Amino acid sequence: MYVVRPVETADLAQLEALAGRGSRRVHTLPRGRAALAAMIERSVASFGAAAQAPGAERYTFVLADGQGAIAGTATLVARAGDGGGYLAFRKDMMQQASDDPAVRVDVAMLRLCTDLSGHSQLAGFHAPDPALDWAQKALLARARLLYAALAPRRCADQFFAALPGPLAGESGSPFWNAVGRKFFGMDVDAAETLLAGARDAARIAGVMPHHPVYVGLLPSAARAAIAAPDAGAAPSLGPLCREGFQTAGYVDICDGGPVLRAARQALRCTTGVQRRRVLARAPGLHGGIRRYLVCNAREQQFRAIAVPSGPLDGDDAIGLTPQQQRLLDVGSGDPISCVLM
Amino acid sequence: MLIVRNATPADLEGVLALAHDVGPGMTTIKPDRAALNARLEIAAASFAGTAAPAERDFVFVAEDTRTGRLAGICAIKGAVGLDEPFYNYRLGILVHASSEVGVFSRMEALYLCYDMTGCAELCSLYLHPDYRSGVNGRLLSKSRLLFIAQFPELFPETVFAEMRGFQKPDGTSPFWESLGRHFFKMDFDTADDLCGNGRKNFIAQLMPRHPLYTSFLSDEARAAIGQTHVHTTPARRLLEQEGLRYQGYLDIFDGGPVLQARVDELRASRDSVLAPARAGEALQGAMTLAARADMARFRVVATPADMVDGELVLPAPAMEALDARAAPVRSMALNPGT
Repeated sequence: MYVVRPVETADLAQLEALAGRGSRRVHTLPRGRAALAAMIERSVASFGAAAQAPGAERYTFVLADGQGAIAGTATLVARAGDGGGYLAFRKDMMQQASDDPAVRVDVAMLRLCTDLSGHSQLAGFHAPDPALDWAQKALLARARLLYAALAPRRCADQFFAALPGPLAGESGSPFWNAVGRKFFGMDVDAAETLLAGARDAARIAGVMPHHPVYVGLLPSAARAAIAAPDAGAAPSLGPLCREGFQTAGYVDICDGGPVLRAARQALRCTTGVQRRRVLARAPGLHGGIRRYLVCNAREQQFRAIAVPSGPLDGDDAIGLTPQQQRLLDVGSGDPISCVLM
Repeated sequence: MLIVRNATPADLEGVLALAHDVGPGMTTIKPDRAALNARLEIAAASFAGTAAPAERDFVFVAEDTRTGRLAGICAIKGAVGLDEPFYNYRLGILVHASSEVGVFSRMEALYLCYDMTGCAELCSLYLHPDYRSGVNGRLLSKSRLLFIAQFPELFPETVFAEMRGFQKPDGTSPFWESLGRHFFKMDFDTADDLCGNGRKNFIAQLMPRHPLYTSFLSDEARAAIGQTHVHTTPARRLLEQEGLRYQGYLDIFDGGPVLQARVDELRASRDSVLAPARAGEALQGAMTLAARADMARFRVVATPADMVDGELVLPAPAMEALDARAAPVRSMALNPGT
């Protein structure tokens, strides 16, 4: 049984081990003890802050099993681009036509933009253990949105998530090789290390193309990479789309991966949330045919778990076993939020 | 002997014959009788001083004085781009840098521009293969510059010439294949022919609207920027001798260079002299371009000549060809530095 909770200072050693595992994409977790410690410190301060509006907070959550072993992390950035604008490419199309001769051309372009600045961002999803099933990953990914629904003042009205774009073996990202490399003069790994996962306009807008990138001039491998998720990221796409995210014509400036976007009011964690009370339930019996994401109602000691249950529609309570109550740090009668998985 | 002289409507048959020999690749001389006739009429009005500045088109022909056959043609358009847009790319530099992340990149970009608007264009140069020997090519190309030097008040500040761009041995233009084809969705020759026929609207409708980073072009397209076609390289060298320079302007189709100069910085403007001429023996015999300096009967020959006591001394046949007893002669060394 897994629980999602805010990262704690004592998690540092486990996160260090976790960061070394899995893909070589560096923007999932910072590299190095000091950077991880800073990430934890920032998250602890963010949860502790009495934020009345989204600001510089970065909330990092961990997925822990019943013994406290950490299997994944995920971050919610309150305001993307808080350092001076979040850079992305916007896909634009200009249709040009001539009468004589009769020619019509769809001119596809990528334009650098900071449209996503100020959105809340789902970032830093890192769950490398192949033993984790989809429900456990979905718990980690969606707990952030449950938290956003619980603490709406802490988040923006718009959310986005950038999925990693395709890599082609040793040659790296075909999109980066055709676009970013021309401007940065380095490979994508070096650039990601330099950017530390950020897309900070204040730091790098001067380096990125000031003028639109004409898609038709790019090599076919780079064109194919635009808005295409990496094979490893494809499983995230479905859950995010079911959550209410949509591809919105934005792609990542480095690897061309798709950016998914959603308005708060379109999120299932917002529209489908059901407020209930805890009802004690005896262990052993199966809870029901449905599976719910359940979180407590505390902004500081936030906890979320996945709970099998019967349909909640007619009830004002949900039955939780003692173990579930312990994981959520709640007792009978406490308020909780539930969303159908 | 070849003389270069003002073209007149009476030259129509000869010019038409030349146009038939030109072949593809030269859009301003097509074997179109009506178009050529119209052009010769405008040329006549230009020399007569009755053409509007935007219309002026000074057309010259090279005539074989022995046979009367026309050997070549060349022209100066008084000002381009005043009644329809005249496009070029300008090759510019962009610096993409961030001191915070320690990146400094120098990028080249092509900007669509209209900077030649109102400038005079040296164009329509063609010398029949039978005459491509000796000084004929230099005579034909450079004669125009003596005309400009003699009548600077007819011309704007800048004169330029578009050079045919680099092509591969198979006749394809790497610049077009990497750039124009994506926006125009047609072959280079189709686009070029449309322009030659005056159907240029499609350019405005289909051109890329934003500057283009050259790093997105193919390597061979980048290498072709500002490079002349192998057959045009000698013509480029001649114009460079006269003070025209490539300054980053390009043909939008094939990436060929625009050579340009301020009129007052042309060698012809700075070094040519106006003097009376007489027949005699040219003892030193430096090859000289000599032009009869009146508008109505402007004509140029390449001949050995000496400057003696403020008079240009020409061999009798050259003097006769210029018919310059009644007019002063503007002259300069055929080759710079001699």
